[in-house]
Amino acid sequence: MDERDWTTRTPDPGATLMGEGVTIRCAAESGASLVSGDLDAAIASLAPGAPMLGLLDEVPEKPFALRIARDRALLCTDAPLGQEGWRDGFAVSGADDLFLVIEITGARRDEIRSACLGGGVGSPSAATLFAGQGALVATCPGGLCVRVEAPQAAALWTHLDRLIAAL
Amino acid sequence: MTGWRHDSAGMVDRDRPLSFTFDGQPCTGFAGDTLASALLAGGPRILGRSFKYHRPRGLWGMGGEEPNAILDVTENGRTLPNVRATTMVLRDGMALRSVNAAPDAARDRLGLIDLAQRFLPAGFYYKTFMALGWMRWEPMIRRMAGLGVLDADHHPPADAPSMTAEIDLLVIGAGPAGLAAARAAARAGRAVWLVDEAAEPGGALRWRGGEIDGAPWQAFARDSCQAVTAAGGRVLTDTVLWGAFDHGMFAAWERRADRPDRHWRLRAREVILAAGAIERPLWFANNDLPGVMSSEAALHYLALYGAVAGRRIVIGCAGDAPYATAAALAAAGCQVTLVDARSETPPAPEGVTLRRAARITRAHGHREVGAVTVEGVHLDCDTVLVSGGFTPSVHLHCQAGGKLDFDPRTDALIPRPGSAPLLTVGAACGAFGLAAALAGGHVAGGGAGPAPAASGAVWGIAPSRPDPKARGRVWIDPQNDVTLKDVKLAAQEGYRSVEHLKRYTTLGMATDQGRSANFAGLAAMAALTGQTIPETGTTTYRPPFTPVPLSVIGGMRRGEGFAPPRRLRLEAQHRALGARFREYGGWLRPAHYGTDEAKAAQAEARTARQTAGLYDASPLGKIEVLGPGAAELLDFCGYVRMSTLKPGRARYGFMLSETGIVFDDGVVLRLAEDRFIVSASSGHVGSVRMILEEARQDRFDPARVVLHDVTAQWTTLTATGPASRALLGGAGIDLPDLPHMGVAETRWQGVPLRIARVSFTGDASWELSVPARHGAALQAALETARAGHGACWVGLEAVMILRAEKGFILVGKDTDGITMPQDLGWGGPRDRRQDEYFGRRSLFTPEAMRPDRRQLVGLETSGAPLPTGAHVLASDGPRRSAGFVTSSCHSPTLDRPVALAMIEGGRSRIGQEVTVFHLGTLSTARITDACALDPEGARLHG
Repeated sequence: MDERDWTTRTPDPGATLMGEGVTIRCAAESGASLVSGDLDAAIASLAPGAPMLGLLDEVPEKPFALRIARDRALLCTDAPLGQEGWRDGFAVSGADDLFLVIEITGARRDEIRSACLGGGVGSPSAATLFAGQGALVATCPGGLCVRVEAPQAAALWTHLDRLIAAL
Repeated sequence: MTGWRHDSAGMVDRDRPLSFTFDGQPCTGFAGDTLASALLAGGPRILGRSFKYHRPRGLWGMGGEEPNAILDVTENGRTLPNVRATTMVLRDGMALRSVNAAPDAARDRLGLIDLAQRFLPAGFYYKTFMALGWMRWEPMIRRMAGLGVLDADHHPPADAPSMTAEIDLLVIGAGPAGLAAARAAARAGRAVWLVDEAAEPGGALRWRGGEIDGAPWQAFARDSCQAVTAAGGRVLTDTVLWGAFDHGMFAAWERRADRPDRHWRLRAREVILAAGAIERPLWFANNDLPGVMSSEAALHYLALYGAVAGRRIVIGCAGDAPYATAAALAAAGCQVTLVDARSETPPAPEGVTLRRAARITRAHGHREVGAVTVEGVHLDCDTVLVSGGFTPSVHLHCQAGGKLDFDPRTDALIPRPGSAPLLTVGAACGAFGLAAALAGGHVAGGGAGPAPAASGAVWGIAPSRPDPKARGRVWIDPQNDVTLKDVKLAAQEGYRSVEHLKRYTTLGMATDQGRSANFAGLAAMAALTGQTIPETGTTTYRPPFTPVPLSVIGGMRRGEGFAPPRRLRLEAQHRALGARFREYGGWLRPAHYGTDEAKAAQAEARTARQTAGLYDASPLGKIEVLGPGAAELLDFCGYVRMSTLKPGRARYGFMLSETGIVFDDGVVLRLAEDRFIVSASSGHVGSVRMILEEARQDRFDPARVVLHDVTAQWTTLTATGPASRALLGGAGIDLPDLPHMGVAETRWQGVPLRIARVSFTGDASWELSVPARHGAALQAALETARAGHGACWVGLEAVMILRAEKGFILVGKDTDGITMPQDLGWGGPRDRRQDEYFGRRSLFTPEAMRPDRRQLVGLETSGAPLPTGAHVLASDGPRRSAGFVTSSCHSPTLDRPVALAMIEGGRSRIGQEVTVFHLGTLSTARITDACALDPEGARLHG
């Protein structure tokens, strides 16, 4: 028998939550790679000109990179890089399926942010805890853009679903 | 019932009457009432029984300081225990029940205990029942003394959001000082959060009234709030700041009527505390009788709710504050006598009899107050209001690390400026009086120009203290039934420190946190010990300032939201196949397919051995280690060398802790000279990555090796069993010619496919990994081919059987906190490796070298499988455990039980019979090799 009745489910890309003043949408990542090592060299080689973004920085059109640690970032490009392995001073691993992207838009997005994000504004790293889940958090036009590892997306999605009803 | 409802006073909605019950008796109130105001106006006087002596108790205060009116409130079939009647809004249909009373507050049978009060002093229970066996008596004592009753069926919803805010200026308290501070700061352009526990801003202005800048105070409050919101700030009412914590964090509980409550974590650049002050009682004999209540509270109930405390009222005081109460009550039609301890007083309010230089020495009455003695004179009355001065609400200041100074002018402990990272203003720092409060708030908020103007001088206050020579029973802490006699006893027995006094008598330890009692307790102790109040000191202030529901603090992370497991990308597909899920190592995974776990697991394991089994191995860690320094890092962090591994091959190994204990095991794949994948146990991925990361950054050149945890990037499905190769062929997967422990990167239907020929079952197995978005296609292909080969999907319970048959360990189940690799039969690397590696030195300690360490072996038995955890008894000497069963199951392939165990010197005892002990029963088993099936490994090759 099940230990408990698990009612939550991982959202499919395209799934949407609607609440008063807030819309939450799940999207699949595309063209994402983990890069580590010499990040300047990695960006110069793989996506010249891509900005390195920290917590709540606004994401521009691709390519851009979300910093995870001093020498690690998620490089978001228009298409998969296909250059996995160790390069000259940096490493690349495909990460198209590592994260699900959850976009939070609407007038009440700041309340969602307040309920999910424990401060830390201004960090050069986009990696943080969002509603208790490890995530990369940036802003996108009109809202928040949260990348959460796919296995944890069910927990975050359910939390957000309950949150918009409780705010 | 002595209280009554005034015809016109108050702000309740008299067009909306509400019905409720108290201890089963019908009562009525109005919309806008609190439970307390409704009970005061139309309910009984006895609202509860005291904690220890079961004395009758009535309403005392008007807020969180209320010690007596604690009720269990049932609404819509659900009971909320221990609600302070002063803080909950009345709703129609509520059923209120007194606590600590049987059958009810009016007729409490245990009231007889009070007759034996002289034999039950402070410390009675400790002194008496320790010798008699506390554990025996404790349940009965706890039943006799207590608060409300939990409703076991009431599971509050996990719906309270936990909010976080970073604030420029936080102003705590929206009384006159807080409003002035917030307005001044907002006008200077600062973003202010103004927080108050009441439903409306104004603080004491709400019931005391007043004019500010020549206009009614409401205009000032409105203007202040508008200034706050206009400057980008926020006004939070119905919100209690309940704690100050490290690093400038404040916690607040926001009560909301139509939506779930919210919990706030606030961090402010600057904090102004304007929390006001709480009125103290007076200390005369029987000062706990129902009908004795706070003077300020009586004014509060009259002005806001039209609830009048009584008709013949005596007010005892030693300060100016109660004069307004006396005037208002007299104007309401009450017969009021004001008894002021001072000889010089303000003039008597109109209609009030004033007795100067007089004190109440005793209250009279059996179940409620009926008279008082004032300087030897008997005065009949039905209500006694008291005001022994004010205690500034310094809790948050002290919780934030602040110190206190004694201010003889106000006879109060007030915050020492600069001792805490917040600024205290208004009554909270002893500025009693409207003009003083406004001025203090204005300056604290950085106000330019003159402060808001108001009339009225600072209140005159003469010190009032408990008199150690007083006769009769004088209550210091009514909620915990601490009397002046108890304080004397504590002093006599040497418990003279206030901290000792607190623990000996429980003074100040109740739900009101001693807000109206602590000062009296330390003043009494000071008088008894001949010390000053500063010398006596105070107890430590700790959060919460007021009781906060755990459901609010717990927030939304309960039930499924508490420590939620990670989820498989193919969960829906497994559910469609009938999988039942369970948490394994932080992942929700199929335990078995079908409803009967035992039968399903046996059948799945049998099928996997006979033909083929398929299972989802996606949670196994996939930590990529990349760079020219990768092999060196893995050699250091692992027990088995990986630098000698050739690309395209895999090797099983261990990771040890610094103490040489087996921390994790798994397979390392080498994809290229500078690229490895560490396949950590699913529950250890994060910690294995941290061990690797720490070594990478601290011991190696981090520019030459990096780590990528790409576990979630891949879906891994494993096919195992003699027919697995054929099954994979049927699914269109072109298997390369791989030896056991071979690895290949290829493509399937145009997508990357990594194939690793590694086995956790002892049968030929293939781990197939594809990017997670293609996992469903791979699963569908395997499912299509499955039936044609007589294969099945197997859950983790069946996998546990398959690996136990082979003697393959599960770290944390077959190992414990002292298991080293040599205990598992892996002594080779310890003997051969000469280089340094993590945990190496601990493998050579005398303890690690002992020959009788517990070692992994198998146990063979007939009949039912041995219970996991059963002890294997030592064969000689007194009965003791020489080890225990770590895994045990029935093997469907061998058709007999198999078990793994850790037994002292186990490998040298193979073949011996041992006695197994479990829950009082004994059985016998024979020690065998851990591997019970196919010890030659022939099945690995298909």
